[in-house]
Amino acid sequence: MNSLKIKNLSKTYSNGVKAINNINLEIENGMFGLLGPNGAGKSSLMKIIVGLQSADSGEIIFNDVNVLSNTTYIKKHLGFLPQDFGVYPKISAYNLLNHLAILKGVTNDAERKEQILALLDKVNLFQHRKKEVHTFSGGMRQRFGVAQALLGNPKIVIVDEPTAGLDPEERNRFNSLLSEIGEEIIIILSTHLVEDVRNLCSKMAIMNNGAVLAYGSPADFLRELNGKIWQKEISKKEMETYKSDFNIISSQFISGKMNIHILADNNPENFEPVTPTLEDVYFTTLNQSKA
Amino acid sequence: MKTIFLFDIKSRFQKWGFYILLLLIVALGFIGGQNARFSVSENIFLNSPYQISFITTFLSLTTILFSTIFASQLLFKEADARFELLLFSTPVKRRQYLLGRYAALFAISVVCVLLLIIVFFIGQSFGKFAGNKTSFVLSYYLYPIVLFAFINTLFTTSVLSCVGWFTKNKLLVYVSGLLLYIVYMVALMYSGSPLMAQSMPQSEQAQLIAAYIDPFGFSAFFHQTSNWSVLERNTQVVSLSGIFFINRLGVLLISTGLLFLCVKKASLIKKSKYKKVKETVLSHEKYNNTIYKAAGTHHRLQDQLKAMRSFTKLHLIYIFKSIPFVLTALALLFAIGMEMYAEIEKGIRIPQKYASSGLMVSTIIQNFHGLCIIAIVYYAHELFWKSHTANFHLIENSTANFKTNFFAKWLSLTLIILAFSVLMIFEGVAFQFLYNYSKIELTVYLYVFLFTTFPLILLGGLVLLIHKLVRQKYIGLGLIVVFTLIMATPLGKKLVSLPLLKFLQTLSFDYSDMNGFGEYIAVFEWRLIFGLAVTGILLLFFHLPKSKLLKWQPVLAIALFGMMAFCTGTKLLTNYQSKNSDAGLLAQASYEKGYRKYQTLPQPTITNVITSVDLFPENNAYTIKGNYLLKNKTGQNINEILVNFGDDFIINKAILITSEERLPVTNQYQVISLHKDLLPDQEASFEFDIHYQWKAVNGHQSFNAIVANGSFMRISRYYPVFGYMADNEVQDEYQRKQLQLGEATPVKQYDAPKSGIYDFINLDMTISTSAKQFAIAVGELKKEWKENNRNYFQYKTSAAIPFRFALSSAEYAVKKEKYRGKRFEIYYHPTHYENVEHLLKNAKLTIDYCEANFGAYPFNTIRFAEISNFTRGFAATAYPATIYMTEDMIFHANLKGDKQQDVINELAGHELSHLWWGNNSQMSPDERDGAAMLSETFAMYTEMMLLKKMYGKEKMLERIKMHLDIYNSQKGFADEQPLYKVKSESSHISYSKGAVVMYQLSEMIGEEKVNRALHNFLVKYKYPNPKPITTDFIDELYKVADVKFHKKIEEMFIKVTEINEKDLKLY
Repeated sequence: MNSLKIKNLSKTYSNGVKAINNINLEIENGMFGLLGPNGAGKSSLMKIIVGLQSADSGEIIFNDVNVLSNTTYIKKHLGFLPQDFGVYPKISAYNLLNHLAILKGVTNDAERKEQILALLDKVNLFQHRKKEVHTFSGGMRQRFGVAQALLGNPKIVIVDEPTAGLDPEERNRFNSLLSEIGEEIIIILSTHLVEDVRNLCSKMAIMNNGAVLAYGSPADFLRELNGKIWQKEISKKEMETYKSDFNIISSQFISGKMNIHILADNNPENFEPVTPTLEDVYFTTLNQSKA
Repeated sequence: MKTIFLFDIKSRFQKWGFYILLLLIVALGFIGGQNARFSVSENIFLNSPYQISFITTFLSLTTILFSTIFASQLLFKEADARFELLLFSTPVKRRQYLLGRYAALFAISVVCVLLLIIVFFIGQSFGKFAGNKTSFVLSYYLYPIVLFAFINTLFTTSVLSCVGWFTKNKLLVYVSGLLLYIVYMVALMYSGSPLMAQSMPQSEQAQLIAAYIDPFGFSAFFHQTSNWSVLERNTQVVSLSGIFFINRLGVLLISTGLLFLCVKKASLIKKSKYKKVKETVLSHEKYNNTIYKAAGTHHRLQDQLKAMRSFTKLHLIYIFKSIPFVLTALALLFAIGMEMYAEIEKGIRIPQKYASSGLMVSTIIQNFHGLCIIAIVYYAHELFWKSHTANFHLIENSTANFKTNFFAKWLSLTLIILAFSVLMIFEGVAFQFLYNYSKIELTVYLYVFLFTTFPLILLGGLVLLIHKLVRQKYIGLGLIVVFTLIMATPLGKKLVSLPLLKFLQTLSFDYSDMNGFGEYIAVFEWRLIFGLAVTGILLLFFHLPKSKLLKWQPVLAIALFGMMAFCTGTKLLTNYQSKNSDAGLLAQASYEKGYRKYQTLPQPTITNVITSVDLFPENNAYTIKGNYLLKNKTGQNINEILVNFGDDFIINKAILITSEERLPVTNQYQVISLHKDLLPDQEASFEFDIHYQWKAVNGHQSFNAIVANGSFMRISRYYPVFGYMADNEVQDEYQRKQLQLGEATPVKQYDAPKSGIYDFINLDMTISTSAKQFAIAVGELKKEWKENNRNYFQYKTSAAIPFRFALSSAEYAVKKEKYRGKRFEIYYHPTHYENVEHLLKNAKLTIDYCEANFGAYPFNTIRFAEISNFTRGFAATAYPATIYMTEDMIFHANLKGDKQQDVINELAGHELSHLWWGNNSQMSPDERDGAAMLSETFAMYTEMMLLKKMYGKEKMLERIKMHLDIYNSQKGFADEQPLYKVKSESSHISYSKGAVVMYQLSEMIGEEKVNRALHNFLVKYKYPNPKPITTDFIDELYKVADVKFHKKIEEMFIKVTEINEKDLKLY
């Protein structure tokens, strides 16, 4: 069993932005979802975990080793897919994976070749293995990103917004791939797509402004909100009135009509009860933190 | 257009990096102006229009640097920021955008050039050489600034914009910048610039072509002003007419034409080429062998090495597969090839050199280093930021073994440097084949690695380290440029004098076939090891995380490197004497202040010298023991004697012995007070034992070059002498004022009262040298023996000679022949045999001519000895019975090369005739204005007559015409003197005009009459008769020439008249 413990982690950038504000988390094998709006500090946290950035204070213990002082240790067991990445021109998918596999320490030639081909097959790039990655479409490139994250023998895989830019079919394929491998190792999935977390993760945390607002299992969160979420279709003009009267947690358009969700212990007038979704959990948490 | 222009300008001025650049320009410009001795001649004022234009042409070339830097940033601004699609979807018009951008590029580049020029001139007015000025005229500055700085910037920026916009490739812009610089280098070679005219004069046709096509206009400038007089240079700006006008107009038109083309044709956005991917069978392939499973990972040393190899492979694919790399290689080949060609061909006056491996290697070392630095700085920057630029760094850097990338980058740079070095070596070998010099010494080529590749590799590591430490792309680059300029280029040699810190620099020294790179190799190696150790320590210190730094392996490595640095450092520094020119000046001044009174006090004369010299070539050392016989020839009592020893000599023993007393001397300069006066005609003796050794870290003296093979010393200069030495005075008037010295000792005027009595001596010199070497001194070789595994030689002069003697020692091959009772001997380096027979033949011819026309040869031996090029400053020099020739100038020239010039004939004729004309036993002119006419002009005359004898009048006329050209092109830089008052430094008068005038004279009154005058002159004024002055010869001429020619003779020798080519054929 692998474990990642984050204790009292803080990081402030030189321009005064508090990117990480006293974070504490414990993560074990399985998929862990990290939810939060843009700028919440997710990417900073991940960069610190993988050793690309330093922290000001706190500890990150991976399998009993403090990786803040020994960044190489986690890198030996890491697969990382950053939010946005490019590739070198003039290099084929196979050759670039080969390069990265060597960097990760897969130095047995036969084993390396076998793993790369299997991975390419898994991410449906086998036919394109001799093409330059540079020429890949967004989805292909993202799949390449997943393949490289799984090279070697990762015990922790960190993926930052992996499904951004993927079409629905590719997203599904990607998610099933992650869940397949997520049993034996830690997978941290950073995203703002609540649905992905609901589908894949057994544990999750919600972050905003550098702090963890909530931490637990999606099922527990949903249970907590059971019977407390109500919805109503309103006109856009009425929004202001409802805002002052109710605890609106989210509003969205459905077929062109404004639809609001509110949080309330008892049924307010003219509202319909709804089964809470993880999205409601997410917005509730964010709203509560603002309040 | 205005918006884009203003936006670019504003954003430039918002960057503090730009202010640092401006600050650097100000600092470098000012220091440069203060220190650069850009003066072409003392007579041309520093702020004369010619001088200002001359400096501006050169400073305007910095525009290549500025334009390239700014072009690479401005032209790719949108592409770099990925802003193109947004910008070009706005209604901005292509023409507006391109012109606005170009205007900004031009403006910023011009501002930098202008700033540099202005600051340089300000610095110059505060400079050390602030003498010689006229009043300030603004237009003298504005005119060249417009014609050179503006137009050249227009040209470079438009070329670079064109390349940038049409190719959308940043590296190609850099390569174009490099190519522009190479165009400049080549143009300079053919420009007829006064800086190059001496070393590598070019034919008139080449200069004419250069004047038309040189895009920077300085060839046209030099062409237009080549025949200007001093007055014109001091008062006129070059007129915008003729070739100069055509050139500037042409460049202007080409520049605007290029711009027009860009505006018409260049696209704004890089068109992504649609590559049709081949639908190969690949798409049907299915992979169903195994399913994904984890693979074992290892992180041992060998695994890290594999990672490093993988990084290196990717870097090299990236670099070697790119077009710019090929272009850079071609540019290097072209630039070095042009230098090789020039080194072999050597202009029009000197025949081809043999394309020896040594010549090729020297050329590579001196030129490749600087150009390769540019490539290294570029590629280091490119490699260091490659991962970032591709946005691949997050993935790469989160792998376990990514830290090996730093070393992979260094290794890749190293391989690039090696590839370029090998390419240069191939080019050298190719030139050797091309010029049919098949003696290819591959071991000599290895020096390319030692002197350029290795320092460049260290530079690569340090440059990468700076990038790593600074972590800001362009600030890092700026720091690297400054670091490189100071530490690795000749510019820095002025700033960094400590030999330890020069480990990134190359050797600016020519290979010697006789002595290789001599003792400089060892010093260079120590320096390099020191550099390696320092680089190693820095890398360990900054590369390893602090936590690992204290483990035993890094500590041990740092300790080892530290030891290495310490050992080599102490080895280098123990013998190092810092060169402080101020200290030298102060010593000269204090000598003058302390001892000038002895100039007028009576001092004894040396009449006989018995000496032994023990040479230790392998240690760069020798010991002189000597015994002088002194005589008071003054007619007055002498009670104080000033003794002078040479610099850097250890005085083991020195003692003055009179009939009454023995007075020891211990200091370099010492006044001996006699207890009893030395009476007129009374004799005394002086015994001494002195030792000399030089260390490579301090450099050697050209005329005191005791080296492992091919030593040459004008050794009489280092023997102790008596009385005040005016030669030791500070010459520069400005410095004399600063040091509060009065008037310097003037050179005697041509018409000062005659006082010349010959102070000739008899010399008996015994030399010992190492077992394999042969030592050659002056006079006759009397005895030769071996003792204690050393060779001994005793030389004696059979006739009295001036106090002027030299010696050489080397492993010689020898050619001997007896002819008309005299021994002819040629001592040469065994591989330099090509011209030996020919020299012998010409020597015989010369002796025949001189004995028949001027008088008997005073010795029994005629000896030529080759010496290594560790001695520079002459092609050959004549001493009594011996003529020494440097190995790399004339003696080993390829006579069968392109122009078929027989320089050996000239060498033999000129130098041997000095045994009649010059300071060698027969006639010695009195040291005063005009003296050079009585030696060099006569030697030139003899040379020309022998040329005529051997090859006919036409061939001689060609040479006469060449000398006329030299004279006419040089006379515009200095005040003219008539031949009979020629100053010793005006060699274009004493040699070149002298040759022309003597030729005219021989045509006018006949060769036979000229020779008769020369013969009569010699009989009258040779030792022991009184010394002659120039009018004595002119009087002899009047005696033999018909009266009707007297007026013409006066014009030739006593007046200054213009001589043109048509004047050569009047007779």
